Amino acid sequence: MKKALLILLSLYSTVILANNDLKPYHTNATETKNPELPKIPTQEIEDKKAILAVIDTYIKGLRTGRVDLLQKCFHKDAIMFGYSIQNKITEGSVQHLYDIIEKHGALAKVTSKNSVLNQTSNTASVLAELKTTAPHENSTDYLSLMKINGEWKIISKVYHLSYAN
Amino acid sequence: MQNTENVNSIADYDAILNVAQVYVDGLKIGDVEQLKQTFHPDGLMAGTMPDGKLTTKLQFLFDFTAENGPAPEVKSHISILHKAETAAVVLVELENLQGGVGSTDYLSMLLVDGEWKIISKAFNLYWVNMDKVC
Repeated sequence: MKKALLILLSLYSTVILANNDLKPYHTNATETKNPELPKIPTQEIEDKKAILAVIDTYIKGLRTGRVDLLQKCFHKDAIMFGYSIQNKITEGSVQHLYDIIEKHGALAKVTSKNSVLNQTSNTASVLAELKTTAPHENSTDYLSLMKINGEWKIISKVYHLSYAN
Repeated sequence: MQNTENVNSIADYDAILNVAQVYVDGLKIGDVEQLKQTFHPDGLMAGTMPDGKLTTKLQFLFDFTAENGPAPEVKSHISILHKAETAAVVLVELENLQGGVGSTDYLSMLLVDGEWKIISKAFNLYWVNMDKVC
């Protein structure tokens, strides 16, 4: 009886091992073909370049203190909202931005990393992470853009200022 | 590196998602007052209508909703694209608005007196048959 059980056990383990032999780890690796990558429409790529070019001009306008460059980037009805580092709210027209730059001059040391968070054929949402808008001050800018008559314009800027270490 | 407080609290994420949901529900039931609650009074809505007309006025949203009523079949997906301590940007994808129109909305929000408010909405519409739209 004991002998029979042992034979059964050994048979069972052989079956398991055989099954394992049939299932090597990387079976699928050789069988799966790389799917063809979908092509991004040319217009979308062109739009993204144009969007980021507007943001670059915006940053350049801040860095050089040129209000005329800023005015080129923003729609005339654009709004700007956010808090100063003293927690004072700025709300309303983008005119505030022009006034600040005119009054205080260039943000000479500002740099920025810009990312298009989402885009459609007529709108885009951009994150601009600005460093050194003032000594020890950074800004997170959320910029909404619209394509109007073939040109991308910033229609809204909502920002958060933070202390830089 | 020293651990500091996480400025992005879950309560804030939840509050932001809730504002976006109240906005979507406002469109769904066609409630102008409910929509008004979610926006800053000096906020803005920008986009192009199917007839090619450009709007940059928030009042247009309220007028449109008052005129066209609810969108009972609307479906939505809400994502927070990015968030800082007092500001955030939210993506709202909408399908089946009035006349089967779809929309991609970017909602920029600001934390005003402890409450998240939509400062700007930029939209892009999708439609198949122009005749059915408003």
